Formats: sequence, C-alpha cells, structure tokens
Amino acid sequence: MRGLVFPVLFFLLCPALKAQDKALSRYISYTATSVSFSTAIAGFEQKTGLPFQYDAALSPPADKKFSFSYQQVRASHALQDFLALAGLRYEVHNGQVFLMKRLPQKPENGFRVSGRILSAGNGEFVSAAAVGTQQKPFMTTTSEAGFFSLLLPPGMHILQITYPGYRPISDTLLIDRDYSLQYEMVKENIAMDVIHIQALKGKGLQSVIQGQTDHHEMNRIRLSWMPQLLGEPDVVRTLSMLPGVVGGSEGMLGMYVRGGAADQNLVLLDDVPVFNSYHLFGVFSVFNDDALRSAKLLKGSFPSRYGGRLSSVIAVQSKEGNREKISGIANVGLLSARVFLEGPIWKDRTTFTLSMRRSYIDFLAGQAATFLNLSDSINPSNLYYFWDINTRITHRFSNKSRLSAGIYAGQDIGGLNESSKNEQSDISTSERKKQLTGWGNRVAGIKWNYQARTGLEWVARAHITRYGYEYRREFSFTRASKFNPQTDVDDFTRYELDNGIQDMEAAWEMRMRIKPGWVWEQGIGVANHRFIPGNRKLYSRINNTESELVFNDARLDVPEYFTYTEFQYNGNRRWSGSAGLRLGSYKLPDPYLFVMPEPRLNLRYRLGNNRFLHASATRNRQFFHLLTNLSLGLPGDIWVPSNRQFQPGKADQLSLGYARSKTTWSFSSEVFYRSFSHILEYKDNAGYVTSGKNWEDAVTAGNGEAYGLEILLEKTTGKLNGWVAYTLMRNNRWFKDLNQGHVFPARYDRRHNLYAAGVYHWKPHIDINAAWTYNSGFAYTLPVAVYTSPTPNDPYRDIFIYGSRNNARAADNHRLDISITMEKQRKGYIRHWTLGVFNVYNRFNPFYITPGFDKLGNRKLYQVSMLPLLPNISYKITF
Amino acid sequence: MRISVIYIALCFILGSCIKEIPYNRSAQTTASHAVHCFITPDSIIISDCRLTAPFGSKDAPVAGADFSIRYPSGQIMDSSLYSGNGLHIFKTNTLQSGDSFIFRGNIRGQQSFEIHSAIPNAISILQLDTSRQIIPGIGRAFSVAVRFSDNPVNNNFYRCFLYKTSFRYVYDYTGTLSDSFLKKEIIALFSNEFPVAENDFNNYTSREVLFSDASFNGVNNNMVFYTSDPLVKNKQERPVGIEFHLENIDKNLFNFYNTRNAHIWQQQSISQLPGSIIGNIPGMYGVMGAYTVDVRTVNLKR
Repeated sequence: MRGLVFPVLFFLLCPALKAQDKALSRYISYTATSVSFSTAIAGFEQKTGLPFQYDAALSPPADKKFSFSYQQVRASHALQDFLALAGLRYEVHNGQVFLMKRLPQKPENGFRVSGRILSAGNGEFVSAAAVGTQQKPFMTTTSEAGFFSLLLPPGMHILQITYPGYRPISDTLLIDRDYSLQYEMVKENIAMDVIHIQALKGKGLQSVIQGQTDHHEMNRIRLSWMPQLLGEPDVVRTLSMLPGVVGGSEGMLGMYVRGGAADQNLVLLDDVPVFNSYHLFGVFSVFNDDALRSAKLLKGSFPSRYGGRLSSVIAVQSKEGNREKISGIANVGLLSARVFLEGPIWKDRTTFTLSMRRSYIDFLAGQAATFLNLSDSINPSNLYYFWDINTRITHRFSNKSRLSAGIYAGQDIGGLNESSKNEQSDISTSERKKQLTGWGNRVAGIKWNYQARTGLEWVARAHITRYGYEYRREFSFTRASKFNPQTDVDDFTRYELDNGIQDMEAAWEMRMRIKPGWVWEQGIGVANHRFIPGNRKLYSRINNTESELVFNDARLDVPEYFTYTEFQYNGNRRWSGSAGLRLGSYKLPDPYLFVMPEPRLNLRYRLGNNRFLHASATRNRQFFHLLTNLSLGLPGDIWVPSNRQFQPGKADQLSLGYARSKTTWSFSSEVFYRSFSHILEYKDNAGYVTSGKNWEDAVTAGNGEAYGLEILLEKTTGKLNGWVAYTLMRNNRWFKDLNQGHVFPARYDRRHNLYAAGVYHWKPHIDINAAWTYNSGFAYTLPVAVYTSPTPNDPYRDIFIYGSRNNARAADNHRLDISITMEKQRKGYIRHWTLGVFNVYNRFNPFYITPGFDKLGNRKLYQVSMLPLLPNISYKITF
Repeated sequence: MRISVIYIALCFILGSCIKEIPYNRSAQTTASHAVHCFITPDSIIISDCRLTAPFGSKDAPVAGADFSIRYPSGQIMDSSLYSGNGLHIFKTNTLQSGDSFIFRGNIRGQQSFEIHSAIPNAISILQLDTSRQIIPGIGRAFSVAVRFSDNPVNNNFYRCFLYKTSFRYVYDYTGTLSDSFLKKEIIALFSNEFPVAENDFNNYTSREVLFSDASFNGVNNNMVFYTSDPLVKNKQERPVGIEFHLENIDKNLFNFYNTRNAHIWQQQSISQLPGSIIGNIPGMYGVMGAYTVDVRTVNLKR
C-alpha cells in the first residue's frame, strides 16, 4: 500500500516541485553532536523549512547518536550526507520531504570488488595472484602492488584467490555493494614439512595471463624449473626460453626478441633501467636470483608507461623483505658464492633486503696454480672476477602508503699484470706492466606508492642509473744503482679510458578507476640522459718530469620530457583491452627537438571459458643507439644519441594471438609482424668505434622486418611441470649502403627455435630439472672467392671476395642441460644440494666461424665453440 | 686405471672446441682478375696478374697479359714480358719522381684498361734519431724520431715501416749453440703523432703506419715513431740494426693499403665483417700505384 502512495502523490503534486528545490538549494550551517536521529531530522526541518515524513520503523534505534558539522553547504547535500549515515535517502514531493530506505546502488554492470593481496609470511604484496569467482569466469590478476579489481554482478559469489606456493583463499561474498578487501595469503611451507612443500611445487602458474599472449610473467616457482648453469640460476636465461626470443651465440645471454637487437630491450630492475644486464661477457645476468620476486617479459604491446625501446621490456621485481623475521639464503657454487638476507627493521613497518655475490674464478685458479706448481704461469691477479650487491628498504606508512628505495651496484673486472726484476751486482732494474678492464652498473631508485582512495593509486618515483666502462694501462720502470745514484730512474706512465651513459629520471604516475570497468593510467616525467662517449687521460712521469694530457670527447646531456596516458577497459565479459599513447621529447643542443609519439592498442576477446583472442598494434621508438658490432656485444660498446643524421629507431608491430587454458595445461599462440626503421649497423670497412668522435662516419641507418609464429604449451600441475616453446621466424634487414642495397638476413635470423624446460618432482624432496634448446644456425658471411694480394713488403696475403651479406648458415645450435636438486629440512634451515650437467651430450655449438689454414697450408673454415660438457655442483641453505 | 679414466674424461670435457666445417665452394659464379703493380723509380716494375678462385682454392696465375707503360702522349715507354707465376716484368724503368705516365693493361678475354698516374715527389729523410725510452701509455720502447720534408704543392700521403736485422741463435737439447743466422723482419711500429692518430685505419696493423700531410702540409715535419720491441739482446737473438722506410705514396696506394690492412685484420675478427679493398683497376681487383722511398739504416751497438 505504501508503495502506491508515493507515485500518486508525485503526479498530484508535481507543480510544486520548483519551490521545494529552492528550499533544499539554499546554503545552511548545521552542527550537532551526539544527537538522536529524530532530533537531527527536526533540525533539518528547521533549517530547510520543509516538513519531513518517514516511517518510524525505518529510523535507526533511538540510542544511536549522530554527530556532524555542515558549514555553508547546500541543504540537499547536507541532508543526503546525513541520511547516508543512517542508510536512508530522501525524495521531495509536494513540499514534503519523504525519507525512505536507501536502495542498493546498482551500476550498469555490477559492483566493484577490489583490494590487495599480501603475503602473510612477510607482508609483501603478492603480484600476479589469480583472483576470480568459482561459479562464473570472472577473473583477474593482482598488480605489482598486489592490487586487484573485479566487476561482479549482484548476488552470492565465492571469491577464490590462488598463487603458487600459497594456500588458496575462498571467501563468500554477497555482492550488493562495492567491496574494498585485503587478504593475507599464507605460505604453504609455514608449519609444514618438506614433503608438503614439494607437493605444492606442482601448483604452477601459467606465464600467459588472461590471454595476453605477448606478455609472460615468471614467478619464483617457474624460475626454479630451469636447470642452473654452473650452479647459477638465472632469470634472464629462463626468459630466453620463451617463444619469440632468439638466443645469441652459444652460452651468451644476448636476447633478440622478435627480430630486435640486444640494445632494444628495456631491462628494468624495480622500474629502473639497467644498461648492461650481463656479467662475464653475457654468460650470467646481473640479477641475483635469490633477491628476485618475479620477472616479466613484454614482447609486443607494452603498457604505455614503458617506452624508449623497440623490442621488449624485461621487468624484474625484487623482494621487499620479510616483515616477520630475519631470513636468508646462502649459496656456494662452482663459480661464485652469494648470500641473501631479508627481514624487518621496524616490525610491520620497515623491511630490508640485501643480496651480495662474488665470483671466485680468480681465487680458485690461483689455488690450483699453487697446488700444481704453476704459479709462475698463472697469476691470480691476471684473471677475471665479478661482484654485485643489491639492497632495498621498504617502509609502509600505512596500508595505503609505501616508500621503497633500492641500490644496485655491480662490476666486472679483468686484469693483466706482468712484472720482472733484474738484480746485478751494482744495478737493479724492475719493470711492471698492469692492464685493467672494468665495466658495471650503478643504480639507485626511490618510489612512493600511495592509494589515495579505492580505485585511485599514484606513484612518485625517481632514479639514477649509470653504466660505465673503464680501461687502465700502467707501466713503471725503475733502475737503482748502488754506486751511481745520479743515474737512478723511476719512470711511470698511465693511460685511462672511460666511457658510459647515465640517466636521471623523476616521474609521477596515476592509476584511477574512472567508471566501472574503466581504468585510466596517466604519467608524466622528466629525465636527463648523459652520454659520456670517451674520456682519455695520459699521465707520465719520465725523467722526473710529470705531464698529463686529457682528451675528452664532448659529453652530451639530452633532456627528455615524457608523458603517457592509457585507458584500460575490463568491464565486459567478452571484450577487454587498452589504448594508450606515450609522448617523449628529446632536445639536442643543436638545437633540435625530437618528439616521438608511441601509440599502443591492445584488444582481447573472450571466446569462452579460458579461451581468448588477442590483437595488438603498437609503435615503439628508441632514441639511443648502442654501437655494437656484428655478433657480440662488448662491454666497451658505446651508447650514442640520435641526431639530425640518424633519426630515432622506430618499430611498428601487429600481432594476433590465441590462448586457451585448462586446469592442468595452457596453450597460447601468436603471429606477429614487426617493421624496423632507422636502425644502425656498421658500414663495411668501418673501424670499431671506441669514442664519440665521428661515430657517424662508421655507421649507416637502414630498415628491417621480422615476422613469425610463436607457440607455447605449458603444463602447470602434477609431478611434471614445464613448457615447450616454439618460434618460427624470419628476420631481414636492408640498408642502402650495405649489400648493394639488397635485403639480407639479420645475423640472428634463426628460422626454428624450440625450447623445452621442466621439472619432475621425483620424490618429495628431490626435483629433476631439464632444459633442451634448439635454434637454427645463425647467419654469417662466407667469402665466395679469394685472390692473392702481393705488396712489396707483404707478398702473400689472401684477400676474400664476399657475395651477399650473411649468405651462409652456421650449424644448428642445440644442447641439453640437466640438474637434480635435493632438499632436506634441518633444524632451523633447509639445505639444498644441486648437481648438474650443462650440455649433457657435449654438443659443440658454433660460437663464431672463422677462416684459417690447416697444417698443410690449405684454406679451411673453422667453427669455434665454447662451453662443452660442464658438470657443476652447488650447495644452498635457506633459513 | 682410475687416472686414465679421469684423463679421458678431462680430454672429453676440455677437448678442442675448434673444428673444421664444410662449406659451399661453388658459391663463386664468375672468376675475376686481380692486378697489382707498384711503381717506384730505380726499381724493376712487376705487374702481378691472377684469376680469383673459389674460397678454399688457390688463385690461378694469368699468363700472357699485355701490360705497358706509356708517356702521357700515349707513346709506349716499355711493355711487359711474362716470367711465370702471373708475373709480368718490364725490362726498363726510366720513370723519375714527378713523371706522369699511363699504365695500360690488356688481358685476354677482358676489356683493356688505362690508368693515368704520376710518380710522387721524391721523399727525403732529413734526420733520424733513435733512443730507448718510456713512451707514455705504452711503456719501455725503442723510438725513432724522423724529420722529413713535405712538398707544399701536392697532397702527399706517407707510409713507413721498420725492419729489424738480428742474429738468431739456435741451441741443441744440451743447451749448446748449434746454429746461427741473420734474419730481417718487419717489426711493430706505432706513433702517437696527430697525423697517425687521425687515420683510424692505423688501428688495424702494426706492420706499417700510414698518414697524410693534411695537418702539416709544406713544412719540414718532425714525427716520433716507436716500436714495442725493446731491441735488446738475449740468448736467442742479437739485434744488429734497424732499417726505417719512409715512402711517399700516391692516393690510390694510400686507400689501397688502408683498406687492405683493415680487410686482413677483419678476416680474423669475430666482430667485424671484412670490408672491400679500394683499388683503381677498372673492372678488376687490385691496384696500380706509384711511390718514392727513402731508407735510413741504424746499426745497433753490440
């Protein structure tokens, strides 16, 4: 009956509406403390001059008290706000205000359920956890900050949250309003025995998330599936076994993603770029696996917040640290030892992580030389070593506010020392030659995440990152005479060369839910790129006369201003996607301004339960060029900026993918086409550039294209976990000044690439890992003819005549790596023994091809291989 | 037995990682000719003519080619005689520094060619001093300070190299001297001088140094070169002298030597593809160039 009263009154009293609006539009001031509902309403009647009608049954209990204060606000706003406290609303009819029960606000597509997922063990945010409903396929994954957001229709839902290594969470929710939730996931190994830990390792995670076939995420479990090279787990090596990635020369970690070059990958450690991500000329990456939480490989449609590189983004996230207790990992391998510590500084507020690693090839070789009486021929200081250190401190001001700061430093050092002494009766002389080559990264970053309100999160960050290469050469000569000291000599010379690149950047980023199903990401930043192409210094002290000559190539500072915006849509059961634009501007001192728009479009269509179609179209630009040679990246390669002559590189890509996942396996496939323009290669006959002087004369710009098919099949549960990845690809180049302007295959145009990696949980405490890689041979240029070129003082030299570039193929590359890991729970710690064999069947894979002569002087072609069968052992404890 | 197993296993693991691989020898579609001729006053002129061969085979000497040197008017000065192994020798050489001439070639089955050239100005080393010293950035070295004149009229290009002559001693297994002989060889030569540093191609070889007079045109130039060979005697060797060669070469030779040095270095490089060599024989490989030379010999103290 009451339901009929209001409509009737509404139609009868319509003409009086304007006067009522006026009464509620006036500004009022109304303050009350601990008043009952009826008292408060009486106050509103007085302030507005309108009578209020309501059913007493709807009013809150009389003992519920209200406090509020409204100063010069519209009466309608004050009333609305007050009634919300009581769960009521109002309507005005014929000069009377009717109070009624507040109806659930029903958005067009349902209600928003959002929140964060934390790890109960250490309080870290859990990224890439799967959040979804049991009955219907509403599904999402958590962001890097552990945040998720789902749009659910009204009704009862069972929310399920899963992440490998953690107990799944189920929560029943009555969806009649928006929810903001926080869950803490409990690690399975807490208060459980080793057997249980092993059983859980089968619960893997698909690398392809939500049908995004060109994005792969590797969590720690997946990283552990790969056998270790010489006892060193390596995140980049694992990423190199994904589809679309082509390896460089055997043993080297150079990643060539969808036809790109090694310098076209944006490698990020906690959102800070790392310019050279390899130790030991590319055998190991600079990342210490113990300190890592996850790693992502984005091959095609990057989110708009990433930019400045043509091929891929490799985003590595380090751990934030255990909030509960000090814990750590110590590992001793064949080549290096490493240690990792994490724990609270201020419980539940501030955490730290610290990881350190150092190789000891030099130390072992020295000991072996002493043992074998070879000390004269092997000088430990002549050998190579590397080290790195990574630390991070995270402070939580509240659940909504978090500050994180990290530092990374790493260095590779190779030395060569020679010394000799000659003692005679009256004169003694000594000579010392010392050469030292070093290269490394220094990275520091700070980031502040703040969740302003549900659906609005912003990040302020700043970083400085530097890569430097140095070369030192010293020579000293002393002569001392007992009887004629006037003839004593103490001469010394030193030559120094430094080059590098340094970036400083500050940015502000925002992620906001603008309406149900829509998220808007926006960012703005400024950076300074400093190119240090070559500083040379020559110091000498000869005959007691000192001199110093300095030759510095002009250092170049290039400011960059960038902004991006991206809209993400996830409000439809079928369609989702994102569209964004990144705009970067670089100002050269000429002055010359590059403005580089990078549009991104990414669409996904859900065909059915866990079946997706994915399409993307992107344009990427790259302002920097690394002047690297044909085949190998060397640490002394220099970075140069674009200029009037050489425009920034450009890559346009189209891709179309399909993904399907089941409980135990998943499948994804993608075809892509990518075109490159303004990419650089060395000219024929060009000298290797070691300084920024006239580098433009040594290189030429041209175009390229790559297209292919990628397939990924993953098995993520059971005793056997792993994946098989296949890539069929063509990768061509054409340069006006090379190969007579004809198209030629890129060096790493490897047609077929097949990777298989997996782990078999043989026994509860024993895992067997295996990985098999196969790549078609790389392209190289074989001479087609030869003639002798005699000159008066050099009569017998063969000169090669070359046909087209990269006209021959090296042998295919394949090898099998196996390792076995045995774990055992000890009192207070778990110990792990890992025994492994790299290149089990001792395949001599081509590293490079070189011409030479046999013993009879006949011209031959030789393949040089590295890394034959290598057994390894490592010991690790976790506590 | 156990040691044998370990030894075999080590050989297997650390065994040679270099192996011969097959390749396609038939990649060469058409053979071409390569002609090399270096002309300097008061020396026999030899023109070397060869036919390129597929990679892995020996090139073939070409017999019966007809080379001639002519006056600028076209009148013949001398013509070559074939002496075997692709070498065509001219009977006389009346060319002097500054003379212009035409080098004409006619190879059976090929189009004839004609190159107009001139002998560069005579080069003269005015002064040469040697010393043992510390070279900044290098260490202990034997240095050669040279003063020479440069003709201001022409753009001149220079090439220099250093021979070492030394007695070599051979000992038998008891350590008794069993043989000795005199050996003459080219030794490494470097320079920090600006004209040398300016030419990036000098990075590709230590056998010779190439530079132009762009930075010192027309003045008597002083330059210091050094060799990393300390030229000191030891049990196996006793240096007796050095021979410093300074050549004034024409631009064709300058380009040829530069690119040839780069090409040879790059053949063994794993990082660079050998570039092509700049020559001046139309339609063929090789070069015809002229040069003048001055040589100074320094005897070393015993």
